[in-house]
Amino acid sequence: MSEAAPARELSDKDINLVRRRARVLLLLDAAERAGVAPLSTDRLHAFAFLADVLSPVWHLRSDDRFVVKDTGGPFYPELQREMDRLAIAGLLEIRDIGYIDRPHGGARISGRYSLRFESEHLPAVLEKLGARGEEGALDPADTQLHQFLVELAGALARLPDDEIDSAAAADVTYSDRAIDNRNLVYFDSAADGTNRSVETAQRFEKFMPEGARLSPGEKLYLYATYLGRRVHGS
Amino acid sequence: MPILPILQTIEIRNFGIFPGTDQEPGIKRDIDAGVTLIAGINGLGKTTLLMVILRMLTGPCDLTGSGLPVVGSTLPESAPRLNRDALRFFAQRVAGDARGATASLAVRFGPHEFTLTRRLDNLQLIDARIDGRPLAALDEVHYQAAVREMMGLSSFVDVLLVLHHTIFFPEGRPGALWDRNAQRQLLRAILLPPEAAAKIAELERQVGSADSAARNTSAQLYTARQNLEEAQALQAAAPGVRAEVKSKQTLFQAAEGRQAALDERRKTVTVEMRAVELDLERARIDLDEARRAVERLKYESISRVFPKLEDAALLTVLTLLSSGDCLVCGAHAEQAKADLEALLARGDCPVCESPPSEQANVIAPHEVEASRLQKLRRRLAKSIDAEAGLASRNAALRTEYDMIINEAKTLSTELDQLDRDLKGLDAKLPRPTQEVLDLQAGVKTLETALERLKTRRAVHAAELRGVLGLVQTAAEEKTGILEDAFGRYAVALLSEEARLVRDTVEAGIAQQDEAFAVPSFFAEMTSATKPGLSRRRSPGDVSESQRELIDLAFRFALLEAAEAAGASTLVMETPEASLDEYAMERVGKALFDFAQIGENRLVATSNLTNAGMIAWLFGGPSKSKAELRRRHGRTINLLEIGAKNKALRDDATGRYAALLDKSLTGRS
Repeated sequence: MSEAAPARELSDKDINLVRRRARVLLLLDAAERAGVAPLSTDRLHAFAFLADVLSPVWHLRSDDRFVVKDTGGPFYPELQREMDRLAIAGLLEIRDIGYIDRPHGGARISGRYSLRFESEHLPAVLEKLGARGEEGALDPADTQLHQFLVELAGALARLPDDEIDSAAAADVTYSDRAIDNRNLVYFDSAADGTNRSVETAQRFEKFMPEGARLSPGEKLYLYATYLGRRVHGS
Repeated sequence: MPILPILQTIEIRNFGIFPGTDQEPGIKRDIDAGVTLIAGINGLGKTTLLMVILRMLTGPCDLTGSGLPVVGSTLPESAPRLNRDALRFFAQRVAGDARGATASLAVRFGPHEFTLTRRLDNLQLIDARIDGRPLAALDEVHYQAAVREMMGLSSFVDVLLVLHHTIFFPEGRPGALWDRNAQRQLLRAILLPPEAAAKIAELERQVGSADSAARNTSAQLYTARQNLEEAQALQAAAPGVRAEVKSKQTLFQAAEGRQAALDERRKTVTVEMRAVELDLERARIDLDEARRAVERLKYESISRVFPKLEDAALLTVLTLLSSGDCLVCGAHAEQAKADLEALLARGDCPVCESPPSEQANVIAPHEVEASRLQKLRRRLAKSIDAEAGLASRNAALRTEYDMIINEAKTLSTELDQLDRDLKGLDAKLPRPTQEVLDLQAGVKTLETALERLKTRRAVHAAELRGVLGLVQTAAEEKTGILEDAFGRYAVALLSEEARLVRDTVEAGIAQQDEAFAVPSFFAEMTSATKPGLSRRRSPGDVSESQRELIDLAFRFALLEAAEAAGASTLVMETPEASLDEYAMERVGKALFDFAQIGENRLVATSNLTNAGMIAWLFGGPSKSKAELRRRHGRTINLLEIGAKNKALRDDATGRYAALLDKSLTGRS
């Protein structure tokens, strides 16, 4: 009797792929719960960016260290590729595919993405990723990430449509004038290691009456409201 | 904002290189708005004439003693005097050391008319007047103060900086876009009010000086410690322990040296890693956009065949067609892609392979836009190559960085252990002799002095960091103007698409510990071998002609951003050098357009051996005799007024004069 082939050890690249796929599913699950799904391509990337830059508010590590700043808002090419793969794997629904012009004859896909609840695999995947509580999660700590995303999506969902669309571009880290377009926006400043978005979210506590504290969720809500105001320049 | 000099007239007398004609000896010319051409063949003094204009304004001082506009990490407080060779530039060119040769320049600075005359043998001032009134004293101190004030700059050093990096454009020398120090100083000088600009320059000098003193003291301390160790080693007592101390100290110093080298390597790798991270991330976006462009073209075609195909299924087919990747299983399936493409090219159904005649669902016959597709595929291939190259470089840098960090950790442990060992050995040594005590005191004094200098450096550095924020803010405010203007001029000057982008660089004012992040502008450009726009970080990243044209676009952009008082003069040496015929027309037109704006002036030299650009500098070819006369009127013709060299003396039939006529009209 032949021995079963040993499971192939995952390379860093494989792990990154899985990580990105998990991220897409959790982002979209959070969007569903906040009632803002399906998410357009732009919104999904914007949401991914805000989740990255604000994750320290929830005492979590950012998924990425930087994103390219450009006129179209944040865009993660590798995340986009995994979105397509998940759609073909039947875990996501993609509707209204179209293409948007980019400079030098390039194009960017546009569509509206949501979880595909008809998929028989989706419930198990979400459960293992911590989106259904600690019990079925592979790592109970993953539920923290899910909670954070749900809270963030909820905070953004309270904004009017036009403000949601521009929220990432209005973020204090992304819109820092010291960084010109076509450069990398590092979430932690190279000079002193601070994350200005997180600092801003933390600062709201200063305006509370003495002794009162803000929960991380409240900080996200206040920060989202602040982004809404920044969109309109106030 | 600075007021830039507008040249009005130039006059040169008794200088053998420019004897002039019998009717009009020397050179005496008005520099009117528009283009003034200095035409001649090699050796007739084109560069010398430009140098006369430059030296009239700089006098016997410049950014360096050699006269080269080299900018170090900090600027001197006052402009150094030219060394003997640079000062005798004109004297060396003629017999008799140019004694009696003089030059005069009339220049307008905003509302002021400034006239000055200098001896050419030593650049001494003979006369200088503002609006007809002589300076309070005829010396360089008063001259420099007057020019600085009229230009609205903080020092005469800044005047020199602006002259070299915005107005005078000599051949073959990279400008401020490529020289990070020069650009940093130029942005400070032209974007800030004079007081703030002066404050920053002063603080930079203080930081630089404290840094330099700290480094010198550190070197002295090293020697003093060596002397102390040698004296300790000579003490007769406990030779075994001393030998061990000596050996450990040698190991300690070697480890410290390795640590310093490792730290330098870490810094270098970090800078490159940041650059590669940016290039790679942009390459990934570019790759996605290139891939999607192919996908879209296919999408347009397939949508006609499958008007109601479900989006997910459509995406599967599109991805297979654009990248050859199967979204279902992740395999790279070139054969499946080729089969599918062949079916689509014939208009057959990609599922059941039915020919168009049997298809019921088809809206229009499928036609792949072959040439467009081919172009997009070429772009995609370039994007794939670029991304793969950068990803590999990024991975190599990451590995190198991790190795450096691991090595640094090991070294740190090693140093801690050696330090502990040395302290243990020290306790075993006998009491030191008087000589050793004296040397120990000397070491202690130097250690205290070093600490004091480091504190001084840190105090100045903190203050400097505060005021450098002004440059950052000013650069941010002007970024839009600079980028727009650069983009416009780049379109006119270059065949490739180019744009300006602001980034942050380390100023390098202090060599140790203190870092200063400052804004710096870079050019990005398309190329035949890379997809999209890629950042050009050094002159070596572009061809010679591209470098000069990018420099030129940056100078024009700076002039706009500086809101120079209405007009400016650009003095340019052989703009046609290293350009092909087609580029000469494009560049010539752009320079002509610049010179037509308001009171702008362009003074350009041209070598008749490569004269395709001349007619374009004057607005293009013309057959009109009146226009030829006008163009002659705008030309300082060194064939006539320069000292005749052998080539000209041998030209009995006037071929060079005819060549100039032909060049001015643009007739072939």
